[in-house]
Amino acid sequence: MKKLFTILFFAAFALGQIFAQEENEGVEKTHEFPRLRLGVEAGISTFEGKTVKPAMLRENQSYYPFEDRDFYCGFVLNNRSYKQYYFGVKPEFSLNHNLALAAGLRFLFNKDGFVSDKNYFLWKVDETENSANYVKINNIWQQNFYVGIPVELKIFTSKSDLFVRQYFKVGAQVNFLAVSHTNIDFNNENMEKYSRQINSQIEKPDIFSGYCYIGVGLKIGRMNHPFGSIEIQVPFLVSGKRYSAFSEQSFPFGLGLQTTFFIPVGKTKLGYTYIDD
Amino acid sequence: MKKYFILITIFALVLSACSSERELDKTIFIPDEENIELPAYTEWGYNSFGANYERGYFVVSNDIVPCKILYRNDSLQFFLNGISSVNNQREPMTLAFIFPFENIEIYTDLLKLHNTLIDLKSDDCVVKMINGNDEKILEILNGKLHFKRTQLLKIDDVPNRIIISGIFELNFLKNDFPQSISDGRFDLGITSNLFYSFQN
Repeated sequence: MKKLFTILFFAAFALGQIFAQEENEGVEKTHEFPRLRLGVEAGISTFEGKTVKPAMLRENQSYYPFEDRDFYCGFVLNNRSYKQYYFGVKPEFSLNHNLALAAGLRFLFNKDGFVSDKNYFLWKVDETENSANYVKINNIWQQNFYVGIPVELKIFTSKSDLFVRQYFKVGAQVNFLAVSHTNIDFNNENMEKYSRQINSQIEKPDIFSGYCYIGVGLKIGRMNHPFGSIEIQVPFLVSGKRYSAFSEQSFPFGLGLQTTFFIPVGKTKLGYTYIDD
Repeated sequence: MKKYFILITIFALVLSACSSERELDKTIFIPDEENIELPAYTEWGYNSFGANYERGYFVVSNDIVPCKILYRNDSLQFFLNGISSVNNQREPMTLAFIFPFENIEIYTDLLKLHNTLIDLKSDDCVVKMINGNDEKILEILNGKLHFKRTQLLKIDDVPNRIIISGIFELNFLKNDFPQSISDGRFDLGITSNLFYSFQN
């Protein structure tokens, strides 16, 4: 995934440079298009995280610090990447030829879980001084749904409305945890009666989270018609260290890919020059 | 053909049942944060134990059943089987604590050991050290064996084993030479296969 992002990142730069060179070869014409456009976006952000083993989970493998660094007491690897998928609506307004401001509403989704590397793992449901009650669990998945508010400033490198136009972006986003749902797959179906109890033992991710991000991308299409964009983002200053019940932040940077489809709306227009081949 | 299918199914079921038992029988070593050579004190039934033995260690091994308990002649015999590493020599070692205790018929009766403190120096208490064929009764200068907690472990609401967790330490004479075992801790899962009772 990281390789793909890196390739796309350099491809965005290269394409931008190619089209920037072509700019000098055609006939310049005046062109107008609406300052305001409505964007529909979809994307993914990934962050490096580490496993948080719930306190009620029984270890199922020895842990020798100097020998088995990759093992985390039997539960796959200590390191895990955290992926957040999202879609949203985002009106964007051109401030001038080079700057565009956008803000919107994002719906984010994440799924994270524990899957035993054996047939099952043991979860301590309850205990008294002289008894302990474990249940066998095949896997646990937690689904978290967030509502986010992004604010972005786009900086176009060229004033001309080229068909493919390179831009840079700075942005920030705050997320609010709307719903967190945990699904437990019991080894013995009769143990479903403990679902609520285990749910109460599983920690929820941070309610508020957010991050700033920078990005580079390509706008594809003329801005007086529906057009699209694709960009690479690097989130940083990530707040909200607890990503899910089972993972937390280990590195305060991430990587993201976003695509947006824009539809020009509104009557206020901005004049641009573009190259007509 | 049908016969073979039934036989294979039964064989697979037996195998899966055996493997699930083995999961809980094996030793899980979670290192102590302060001394990573010793297992941390836990109460999960990890089948582990460990102690400082002079400047070496007496610790659990994956290849040896860590504990067996025998009740005979109104006494409980608590065996810890592991590896001693003293003077850079590693060899199998067993430490046997024998002390009078109320009647225990089946392994679930071991719950009675909860919060039981044994003074190893008392006259009716015997501690043996077994290295290979060499069995010695230790002359205890002072020491204690504390069963801090016993729990009946149920898995999916079915009783499975007794978890016995506690600590131990002792100073003793071995071949008239003073030695010590300190900072000992154990966390053991005892099933009917590891407990033997001989009634008078």
